[in-house]
Amino acid sequence: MLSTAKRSRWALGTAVLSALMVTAACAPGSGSSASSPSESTLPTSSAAETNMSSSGPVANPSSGSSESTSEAASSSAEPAPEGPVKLIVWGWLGDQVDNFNTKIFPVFTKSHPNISVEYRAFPADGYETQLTTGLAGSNGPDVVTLQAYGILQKHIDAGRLLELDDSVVPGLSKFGTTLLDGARSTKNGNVYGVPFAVQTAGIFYNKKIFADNGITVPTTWDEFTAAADKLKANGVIPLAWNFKDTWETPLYHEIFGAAVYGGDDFTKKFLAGQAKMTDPSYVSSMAVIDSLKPYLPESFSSLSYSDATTLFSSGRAAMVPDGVWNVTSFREVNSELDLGFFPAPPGPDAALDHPVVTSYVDGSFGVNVASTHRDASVELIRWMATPEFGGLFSKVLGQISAVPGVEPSDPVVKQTLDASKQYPHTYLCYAFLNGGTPPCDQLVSQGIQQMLLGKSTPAQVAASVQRGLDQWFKPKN
Amino acid sequence: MVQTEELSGRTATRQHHGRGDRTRLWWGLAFILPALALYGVFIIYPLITTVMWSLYRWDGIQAIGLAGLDNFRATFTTYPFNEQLLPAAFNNLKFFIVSAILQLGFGLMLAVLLRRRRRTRVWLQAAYTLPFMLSPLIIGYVWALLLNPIFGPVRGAMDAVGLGSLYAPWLGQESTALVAMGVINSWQSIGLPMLLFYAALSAIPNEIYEAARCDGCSTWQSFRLISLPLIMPTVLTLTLLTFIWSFNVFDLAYAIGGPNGSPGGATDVLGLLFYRVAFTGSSNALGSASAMATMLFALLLACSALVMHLRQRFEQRT
Repeated sequence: MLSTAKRSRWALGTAVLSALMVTAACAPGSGSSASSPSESTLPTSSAAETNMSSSGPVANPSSGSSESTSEAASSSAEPAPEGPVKLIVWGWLGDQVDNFNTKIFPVFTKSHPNISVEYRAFPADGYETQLTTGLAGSNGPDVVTLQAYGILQKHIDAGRLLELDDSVVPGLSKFGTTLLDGARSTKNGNVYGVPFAVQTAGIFYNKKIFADNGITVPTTWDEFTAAADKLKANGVIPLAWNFKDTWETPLYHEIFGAAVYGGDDFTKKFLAGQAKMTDPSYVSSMAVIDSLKPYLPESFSSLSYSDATTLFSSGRAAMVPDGVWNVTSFREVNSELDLGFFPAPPGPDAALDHPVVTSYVDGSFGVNVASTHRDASVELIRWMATPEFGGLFSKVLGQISAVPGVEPSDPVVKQTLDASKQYPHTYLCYAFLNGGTPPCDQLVSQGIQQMLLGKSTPAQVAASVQRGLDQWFKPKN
Repeated sequence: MVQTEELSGRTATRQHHGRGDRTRLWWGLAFILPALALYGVFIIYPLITTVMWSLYRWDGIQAIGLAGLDNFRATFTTYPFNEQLLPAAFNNLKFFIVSAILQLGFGLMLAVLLRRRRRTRVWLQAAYTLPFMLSPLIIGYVWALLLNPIFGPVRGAMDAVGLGSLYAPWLGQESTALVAMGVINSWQSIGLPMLLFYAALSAIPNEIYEAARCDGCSTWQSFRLISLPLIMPTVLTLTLLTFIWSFNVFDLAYAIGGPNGSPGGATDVLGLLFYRVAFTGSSNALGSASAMATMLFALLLACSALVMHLRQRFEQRT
């Protein structure tokens, strides 16, 4: 009897201990456990699959992965890469894998018959973890998609990326300082990637609903609220809104608040230590978001990003604040949608008398220093700086290419680009204030949630953002 | 099989004392080696590295020096994490209470009811256990869709049967979001307590019940006086496991409230806080996240030790 009790206690003890240890074993970088939650977050089913296959051509499908690895390594040890080379490109655009592999990279292979290229996607949320591991290993990718601004700094610091300039990638300097800032080291100012996309944001609207309700595109804040009131009175949701997926919340603040806090002027002053988030203009920019509450859908606090997209595309909401990348989704949900775009007019107490259109570099392509096919990789990113790649990227993905001189083919996308050139503004949180703990976008999105739930005031949100940033952000005088 | 019987026979008679013990030890080791190796690589090794990492300062993925206890101190002093730590821990506790009450209560009820169904039992058991097989992420996203106030079918169904006034966007309200999450979690994991309770109830010899019936016990009395005390160890085990799972919850919370515990931090739990510290921001994220993981581990280890101690005392008393 006693021994059974003892044994069962042992069994329980072991069970409890192993359940416990999962907690501690879940630290970042500890392999599969860290990436598993995000693996199923996004609908990119290929993640686990792509993870498994090794880089380099696998001649014999039955051979183990270790065999093929050594094969790839030994072939590249020879100085002249005569034979065919297969490059692996990593990125986070899970829904574009086919586009890359069947429509974009084959064009490169046509002019470089010895080099074939494969795009492999990982879920966006876990991408940084994946990339950190991939760049550290010996069997990682050749060319990598890098997130823009402060996020890529840790890979630069770790010496994982090839430094680029005009001698490596001809024409790189033609991209212009603003774009290259997205791929630059904050420490030595050198560039480590070829920017590929520019994102812009503003208000997208349903032209038909506007016409049916006798509304024209508002150019002042009063016209905007009058239009929203009219829509609401007519039973149309004025603004579709995503409350739940908080990565977008700071972008909402940019769309409605940037002109109020003063756009790039404020950014310059803030970075130089001459302005604070607690300044009246920034507090007003938060108040503008708070004033939108009457125009949001009923029980908006349950709505996610896809809910907002569906509400707008299906014609139940007249407007949605969003990024230009979502234009393809709007059209996919409803191909009949008569889509329009306008920048939000400057709100009450705005520091600027004109609207601004927030834009930012979405990311860049860089070369893994440890790549066994460095020459071929450099060939590839050289091509990525050409109008041929830019044109394909713009046409196939429906996004704004970063390559100079490439025009978007979608008229609405082109309109957002033109507007962002007319009223330029760089995404404050994402581009400048996300490189520390706590990052700006987290402080802003948590603050705005509290404010919309009626638990804090605009001034409290602004104070919280400043307090959080004060802990790590040092202004450059 | 034959060999093990032989071995146990030999040790039982204690004839070849030393040699038998050693052979037995080697055999034992050989059998547990594969499991031990896996356990070591995937559990013990990351655990030890996590504790070690928490003591270093990091620049990206390079350790740049010893940090001592700085990473631990930072967890309690960095705004806004310091102000989110306690509410998150309380949310874990609330989530545990809701889950424990529902899972243990309904799990036991289902187990008792299933014992009376001879033909449909296997099918019902499978049906109740089915959601347990799915990832909590899927469960979370599916329930968020079902309960969606605009597109979700639950509201439509309630409207159709005249219960529309009872509907509320449960996952979107601060007051109800966490409880709703607990209910969803219990719905998913009800299968395990049900199976364990069923096994525990089946292990009670029928003679005891027969004797009780002869003594004039009612059904309720025999449940309260015989079944319940005899399945108490299972109750404690399940409570402890629910406790650990509740404090480790991440995927369900992430699917329902996103990384910030929407709405307004109502579903924020330690797992999400840990995620925010680990996967955003500074180059020392590895250090601070490891420190948080180590503390969470220590907390759960202490709580578990306490409950195990209680269980031991309970067993000695009976």
